Amino acid sequence: MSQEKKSADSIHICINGERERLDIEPGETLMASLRRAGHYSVKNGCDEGVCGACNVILGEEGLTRSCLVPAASCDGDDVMTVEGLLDDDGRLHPLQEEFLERGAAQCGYCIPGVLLSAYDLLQRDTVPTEEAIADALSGNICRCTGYVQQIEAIQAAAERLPDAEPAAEGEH
Amino acid sequence: MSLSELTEQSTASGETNETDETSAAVGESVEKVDGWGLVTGNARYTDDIPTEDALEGRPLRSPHAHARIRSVDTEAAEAIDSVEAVLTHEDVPDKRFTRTGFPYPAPAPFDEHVLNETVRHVGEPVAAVAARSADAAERAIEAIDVDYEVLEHVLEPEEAMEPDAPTLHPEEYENPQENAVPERNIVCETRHEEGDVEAGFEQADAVVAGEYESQIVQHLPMEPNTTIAWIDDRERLVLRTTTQVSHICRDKIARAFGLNRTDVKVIKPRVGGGFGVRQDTVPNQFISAALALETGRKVRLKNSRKEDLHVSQTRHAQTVEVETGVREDGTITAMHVDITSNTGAYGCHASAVLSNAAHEPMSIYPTENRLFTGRAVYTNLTPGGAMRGYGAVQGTFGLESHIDEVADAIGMDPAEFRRRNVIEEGEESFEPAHSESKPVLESVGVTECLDRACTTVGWADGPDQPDDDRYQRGYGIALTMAKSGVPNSEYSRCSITLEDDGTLTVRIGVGDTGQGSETVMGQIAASVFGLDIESVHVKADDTDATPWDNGAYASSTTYISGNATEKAARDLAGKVRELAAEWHDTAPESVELADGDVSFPDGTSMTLGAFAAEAFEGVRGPKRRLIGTGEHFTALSPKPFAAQLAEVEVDTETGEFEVLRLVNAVDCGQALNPANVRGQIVGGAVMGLGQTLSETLPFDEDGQPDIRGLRDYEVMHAPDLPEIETEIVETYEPTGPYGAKSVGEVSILGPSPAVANAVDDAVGVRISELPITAASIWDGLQEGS
Repeated sequence: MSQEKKSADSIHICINGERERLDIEPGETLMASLRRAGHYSVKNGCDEGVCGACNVILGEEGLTRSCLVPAASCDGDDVMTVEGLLDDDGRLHPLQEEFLERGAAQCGYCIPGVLLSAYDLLQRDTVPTEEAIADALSGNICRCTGYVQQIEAIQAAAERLPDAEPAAEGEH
Repeated sequence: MSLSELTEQSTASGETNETDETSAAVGESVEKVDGWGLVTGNARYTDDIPTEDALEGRPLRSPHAHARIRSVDTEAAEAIDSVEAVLTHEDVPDKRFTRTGFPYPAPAPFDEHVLNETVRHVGEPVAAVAARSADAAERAIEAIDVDYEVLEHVLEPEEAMEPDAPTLHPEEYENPQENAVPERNIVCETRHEEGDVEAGFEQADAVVAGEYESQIVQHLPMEPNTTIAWIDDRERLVLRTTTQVSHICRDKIARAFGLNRTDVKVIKPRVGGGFGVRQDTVPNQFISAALALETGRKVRLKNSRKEDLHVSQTRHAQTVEVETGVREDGTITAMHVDITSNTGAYGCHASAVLSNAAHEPMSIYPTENRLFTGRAVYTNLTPGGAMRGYGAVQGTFGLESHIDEVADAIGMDPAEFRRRNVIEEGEESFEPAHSESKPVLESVGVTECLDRACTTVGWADGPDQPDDDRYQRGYGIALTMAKSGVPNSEYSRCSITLEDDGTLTVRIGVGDTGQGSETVMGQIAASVFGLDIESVHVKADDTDATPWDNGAYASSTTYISGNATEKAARDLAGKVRELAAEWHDTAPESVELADGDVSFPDGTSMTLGAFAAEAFEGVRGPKRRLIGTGEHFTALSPKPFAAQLAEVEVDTETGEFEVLRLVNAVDCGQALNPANVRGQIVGGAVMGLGQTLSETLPFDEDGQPDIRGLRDYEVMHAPDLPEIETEIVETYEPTGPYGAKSVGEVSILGPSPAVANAVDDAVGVRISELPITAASIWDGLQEGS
């Protein structure tokens, strides 16, 4: 094994606010190196950029499928995974609370990616319509829930977030 | 929880196990017991552990649909540095088995080895490699030289049954199924008649016939099939794997390799979906076990998504023919359903899926004279298997489409026709002839489901039509029925420990792959004591720690494992009462258990926590540790029902169409966790819509899967959803835990026929082949005009 590792390189990234060195192998994707470093919330659902389970928020790129990004290109970047949704005291984000409250997570495998898609949406749109939420999830495959409770949970979280306008003013 | 929170809490109250909530857990939408891990990314699936010390496993897959392996030259592969093992069919046990995930022997032919000398579908494993790096494993796979004798292949059941067709399984095998004719590729052939169908047809005013085709689809659980296998420090084989039936998996692996059951352990960590594909012990699991046994090392074998799509067991494609005799007044005088099922390369679930495809949908319309005939046929395609709905998706598409055509033939409204013929409480379901089940149904809410769905949309008035008459809308309805376990086959045993702080540890081998089984078991146990769900821990994740449970299939868990859990909790409650009564010199029956308290006839009470602590410490007598156990095994399988109603809009100039609305009224007995019940209903319905509208796994004429990967497999995405409404029509199932029946499969059955019926209602075009496409509607419009 040591022989094959000789060619390994490394990058520095800032994961959820913590600076970290990642060993990378030639041609490796960001998803693969994150997972090898123990960031198992980044799921490998297809390895072809279709299912959204490996979503991360990558620096200025925003929402990104980490299975499509070469790890070598991420040196110096900020990366947010679902763990980054927790506040400094380890409390759940309203999105996470609403997913729990509304039975929006079944097997859970898609959930980190779905939550990051939702988080990314709420950064751009604080009072999203149901349609906008569905569109934001268009790059995520969930095979268990049929999405309905996820959409409801995201809408409920949006209404709870401080910068959301009163619900009556949104398009509901 | 954090240390600071715990410190605060214990300083404040001196106890840690009490919360303000005293809600009865059953019937409440409590959060899932595993929910925190799911939303924080902390849940650990099979591959979410460090595996730096593991060898990488890789299978070499057949490029041919049918070939005999003359020889395999592995020398070059073995010569690659860091390759630890190369296995071929010559290295694996001679004894054949079926991957079909029922308790031994399982209703399926023993027609496969871990690696076969004859490969029968593209993608079948031919050899397997374990190496110290993924790169070396891949190079080794490429270096294996296989001399194939390519054989003639056959992909269609009708052709496979012809005398001159190639025989897929010429060697005699064990456990042949009913009327098997292996030389003609017939895995089983069945006939089940009640009454006199010929006579029934003679009494009819009209006889209506139709043929309905369903396609091959994949489960596509989001976590691909993955196994990490190793030999532990007691020389036992351990599999950490994506299974929904840990105990059956252990049994199958042990049998295949001739190991003591106790020398195999199966760990089911969090599992990313299942839907039936993980009911079977799949080649990934057998091969991982073989490589670990061969090398003595830890081996990791993860299917790529593309592999999983190509080679995992599929839903069986079926041709369903239905003939029904009917009188002008709407009475069904006779019904004959004939099904030909394509089981692919191996007879996985061939006979049981075939049987279920007819018996479930036919049960909805009890008629004196009914006949089911059918056969399952080998072809050189990826094997079929168990998939949510289990044949009833195909059968319900056929029968519920057909029922509309029968109603149309006598000029009766299809909802009214259903209402006149539908099963009622006290009637019998149509059970397989060999079934040992008790068919009388005690809770049947299907008529109420039908009425609720119709009322919700205003069935009688029909849909509001768009102003532009180019677009036509229609309503279509379908009734569905599923089961709650396989009668006299499911078995579950549960053990519940009263911990010394009054919390409960529930040990039960349920196969939760996301559906919420562990939560429901926790709710049931908690409810017996009036505890909240936080006071219960459910341990379900490995075969050493849990007693036998068949696992998650046949919609059995809530009903079977739930009953075992309730019995174990009541057994424990009885022991608590006995000991409490001893302390208070009173009768056990006079001790009450409610709201987490133990109450005595003299009006005094103590918390269960205080009781457990005193029992444990021996304050009032000998030290006591209380454990309750319960088991459940039954000839009963209560049926959940649903009415599913679709509204579609069709563009008459192009055939393009859209499903606008899907109403799901479901009778699952009592809903033990309404939010999770709704999740099952919606999740099933949307998967059913995928089968209806877009999903298909196509094969070319050489038997090659005709998709490059997930990007070519069209599932439902969030923007594709129609308006989906769910109505839980509660009945009370007297034999269920807290009145519950199952809910996991009943809602996947209806969308296909409901949408087909709605298309017909909109534009008078009957689509009898899945998936329903704009092109097929367009063809129908052209024929009609």
